[in-house]
Amino acid sequence: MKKILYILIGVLLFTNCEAPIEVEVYDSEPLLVVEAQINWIKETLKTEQEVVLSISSPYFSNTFEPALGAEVNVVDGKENLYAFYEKIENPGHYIPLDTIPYVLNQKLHLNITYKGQKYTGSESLMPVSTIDSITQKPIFFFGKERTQLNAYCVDPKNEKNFTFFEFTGEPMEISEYNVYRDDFNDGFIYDRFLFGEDFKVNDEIRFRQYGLSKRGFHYWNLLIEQNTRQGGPFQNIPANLNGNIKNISFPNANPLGYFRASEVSEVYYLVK
Amino acid sequence: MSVNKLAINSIKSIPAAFGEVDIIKSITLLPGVTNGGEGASGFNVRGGAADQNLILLDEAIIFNSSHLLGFFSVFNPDAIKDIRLYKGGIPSKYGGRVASVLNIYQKDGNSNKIKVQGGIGLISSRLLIEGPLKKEKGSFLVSGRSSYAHLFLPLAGVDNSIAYFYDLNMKLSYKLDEDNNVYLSGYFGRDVFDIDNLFDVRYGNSVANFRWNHLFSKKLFSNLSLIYSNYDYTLDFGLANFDWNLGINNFNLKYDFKHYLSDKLSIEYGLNSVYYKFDPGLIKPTNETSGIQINKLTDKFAVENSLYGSINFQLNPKINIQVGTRFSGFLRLGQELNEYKNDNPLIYNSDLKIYESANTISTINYDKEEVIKSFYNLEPRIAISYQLGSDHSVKMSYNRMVQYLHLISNTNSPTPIDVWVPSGTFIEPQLLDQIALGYFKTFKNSSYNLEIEGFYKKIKNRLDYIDGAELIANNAIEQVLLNGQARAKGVEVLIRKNKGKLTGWIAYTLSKSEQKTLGRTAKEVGVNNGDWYFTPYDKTHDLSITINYQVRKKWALNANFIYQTGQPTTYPNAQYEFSGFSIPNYAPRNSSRLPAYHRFDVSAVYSRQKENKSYSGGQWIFGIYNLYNRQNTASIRFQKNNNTGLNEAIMLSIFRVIPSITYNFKF
Repeated sequence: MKKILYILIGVLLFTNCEAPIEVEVYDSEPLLVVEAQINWIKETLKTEQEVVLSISSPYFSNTFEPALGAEVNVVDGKENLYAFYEKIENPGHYIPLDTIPYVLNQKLHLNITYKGQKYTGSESLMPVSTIDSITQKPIFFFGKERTQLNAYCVDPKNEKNFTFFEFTGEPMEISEYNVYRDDFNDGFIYDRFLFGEDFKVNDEIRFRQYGLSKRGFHYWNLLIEQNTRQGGPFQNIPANLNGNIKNISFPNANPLGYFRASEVSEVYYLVK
Repeated sequence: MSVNKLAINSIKSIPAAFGEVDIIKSITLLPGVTNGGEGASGFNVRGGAADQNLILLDEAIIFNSSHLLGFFSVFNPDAIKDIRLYKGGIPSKYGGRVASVLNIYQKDGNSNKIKVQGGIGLISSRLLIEGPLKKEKGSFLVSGRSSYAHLFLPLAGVDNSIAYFYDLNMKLSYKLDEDNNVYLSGYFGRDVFDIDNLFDVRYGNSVANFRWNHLFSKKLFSNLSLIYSNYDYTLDFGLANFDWNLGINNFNLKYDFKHYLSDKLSIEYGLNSVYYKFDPGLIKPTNETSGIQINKLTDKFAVENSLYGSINFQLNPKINIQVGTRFSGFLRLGQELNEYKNDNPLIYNSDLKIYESANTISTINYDKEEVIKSFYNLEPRIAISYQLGSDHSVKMSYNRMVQYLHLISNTNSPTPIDVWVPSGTFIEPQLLDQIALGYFKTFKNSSYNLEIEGFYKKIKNRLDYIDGAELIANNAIEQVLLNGQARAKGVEVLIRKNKGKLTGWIAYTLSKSEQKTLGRTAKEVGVNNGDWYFTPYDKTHDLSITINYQVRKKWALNANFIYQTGQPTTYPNAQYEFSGFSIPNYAPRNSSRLPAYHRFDVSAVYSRQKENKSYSGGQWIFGIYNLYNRQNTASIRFQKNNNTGLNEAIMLSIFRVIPSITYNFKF
C-alpha cells in the first residue's frame, strides 16, 4: 500500500530528474545465499522443491557464483530425513531424492553443510486461501489505457494470515509482487491487483498466491518494498533482509536468503 | 545568545525557488540551521531532528510546517510580522520540544485605514486585506494564498489530476481600554492531491488563539491565551478501496506574567496546560464491494502541564544572569492498551539476530480519565553574559529540555503521513542537556556583527526503529521501537553587515550529529550493532552567504550562495540473487555520503516608490534559483540496469535552474 502511494507520487513528480551516477562502494566478505522453497500447488497437486545456494558478490561486479558441493537435507516433524542431491546440469541447485509430502502446518528443518560450516533454518508448510476469481477491466492512468486485473480470495476467519502474490507472464517484462496480511480483512474477501501495459487478447498471465508465516511476511514485505521500483523523496533508510537461517558454526555470519514452505494457489488467466 | 530574529522584510528579500518567499527556507541560511534536503519537510537545528522543533504561530502549535510534501512552508509571508528562532538558551517559558523554538508572529491589522496588498507568482498568489474595526481601537487582517501550478500538469502528460495548497490567515485586535487588549488569531491551511481519481490525499493545520493582554501596572503585565490546534489528514485510495483519516487535536491554556521589580531585576512566571487527542486513524472501505473492514486504530489521550519561573538579573554593569526552571508533567490517559508477556513488545531472536514483534496476550481497557503513566521533570535553564568591553561580550548557557511527543518516521525526512505519538508505557520522554558558549562583537558602530558560538548536546531516549519497521497504520508501534540516544556538537560563525548599500551575512557551521541504539541487554544487537551512526541530517560543513545590494532607489539585487557537505546515506557492500531479484546488501547505516550540495541564487527587485519612500503600486521580482544549474543529489538508489545487466546507482535531483517572476502590489 505504502509502496504504491510512493510510486505514484514519485512517478508523478520526478520522472525526469533521475540520472546514473558513479559511486564508490566498499566490498564486504562474501556470504552464503540460501534460496530454499517448497511449493505445493493446491489446484494441480504439483510440487516444486528446490534449494539454490550461491555466494554473494561485490556490488558492481558482473559475476554470479553458485555454491557447489554442499550437503543439504530437510528433516520433518516426524524425524524423517529427506536428502538433497546437486543437479549436475545446474550446479548450485539441489533437489530432494524423495518428495517432501503435502502436510499443512508441518514444521520442516533445513540443514546445510557448506565448506565445513553448518547452517540450519525452520519453517512450516503455510496454507493459503484459493484465488477464487479474476476480474478484468480497463483503467485510464495518466491518459494511457491499461488493463487492471484483480485476483479475489476469501480470508480464513480468526487466524492470522500472511501471503504474497506473484504475477508473471510473457507480456510482462518483469514479474510483479504484492504482499497481503489480514489486519483489515479477517474473514472477508480481499484482492490484489495488477496493472498491465500493452496486454493483448489471449495473453496468458499466471497468478500465484503463496502462504507465508509471520516471519516470512516480514521478509517478503521488505524484499518487495526495497527491490521493486523505488525512488522519490521519501526514501526509507535501507535495511538488510534477515532470513530464518542461522550459521551454527559462526553465529556472526548468518547466511542471506530465506527457507520458505508454502501452499500455493495458482490460476492461469487469458486476457480478454 | 543562540537566538536569531528575522524581520519579514529581510526574509522577503532572500531569493527563493519559484519566487515563493519561504520562512522555513530562510532560517536555513542562519548558522546551526539546516534541512533534510531540497524537497524535505521541516528543518534541523544544531543536529536535532525535525520533530524536535517547537513551531508556534501566534502561540499555537503547528505539527506539519510544509506544503506539497516539503517544497513550500505553510506560512504566508504577507501575514507575518517577524520570527524568532531559539537554538539554545531557551527561556523557561518554552518547553515540549528539545531542539528549538520557532516563534512566528502574525501581523496586527492596520487600525487607521484599509490597506490591501498581494502578489502574483508562478506557483501561487496572495491577497491581504487589513483595516480598522473601530478607528484606532481595533483592527482586522485577513489574508489568503493559493497555488495553481497543477493547472500545468496536463502539459506534463498528467491528466485529470490536481495538486494544490491554500492558506487562510486572520487576526483581529481590539483595545478594550488602556490596560486591556484582546486578540483573536486564526489559520487554516490545506494540501490537496487528487491523482486521476485513483487516490485523493488532503491534509493541513487549523489553529485559533484567543489572547487577553492585561497591564496590572507599568511593571506587571500578563497574557492569557486559549488556543485550539488541529492537524488532519485524509487519504482516499480508490484503487484499493479504502479511506484513511488521522489527526491530532489539542487545547492549550497559557497564562504568562512579566514583572519588572527594579531596573536591574525582572521576573517571568506562568503556567501552561495542553490536552491532546491523537487519532492514528480510521480505516474504512469506500464501497460495499471492498473487503476492507472498518478498523479504528486506538485513540490516544494525554495532558501536558507546566509551571515555570525565571529571573533576569543585572548583577553589575558587566554581568547579566538569567536563571529559571520549568517544571513539566505529562499524564498519559486511558485507552485500550496491549499487554505483552513480561511487558515486552519486542522480542530479540539471538540466533537469527533479528528483532520480532511479540504477540499481544490481551488488551486492557482504561477509562479516558484514568492515568496510565505519568512523567514529571524539572527543566533548569541558565544563561550568563559578561560584557568584556563596550562592544564585545562572552555568553554561556545551559538548558535541560524535555519532549513528550515523538514523530514516528523512518524516512530521511518527515512525510505527511508520519504519526505523532505521546510518551507512555512503552515510550519514554526525550531528555536533552545543551551547553553553549559564545563570543559576540560589534564593529564600526554596529555596522558589523561577529558571533561565534559553540554548542554540545546530549539526548536520552531518542527513538529508533528496528530494521524494516512497518510504521504505516501500525496500531502497536511499541512492537518496532527501540530506545536510543543522540548527541551533537558544533561551532557556528556569523558575520553580518547591517548598514550601507550592501548588507547581508555569512554563516558557517561545523558540526556533527549522531545517534546510537544499544540492545536492551548485552546479547542484543541493537540498531547498527549498537555503534554510533550519523543522523540523516548531519552536515559537517554548512556555509550560507546572503547579500542584498541596494543599487538605486528603485533597484535592489539579492544573491545567495549555499554550500553543504552531502548528507549521510547507506550504500550497498555486496549483492546476491534471490527469488528472481538481484538484491543489494548494505553497509552500516549512514556510513556513506551523498555528493556535496551547493547552489547560487540571484534576484533583482524593481520597486516603484512614492515620495515618502514606501513603495506603492507595484514591485517586480525577477529571480533565478540555482543559477549554474547544478543537479544536486537529493537521494541515490540502486538497481539493476535491465539492458546492461549490471548494477548501477541512480541519483535523484529535484530542482534545476528555475527562473521566476513575481509581482507584488500594495495599496
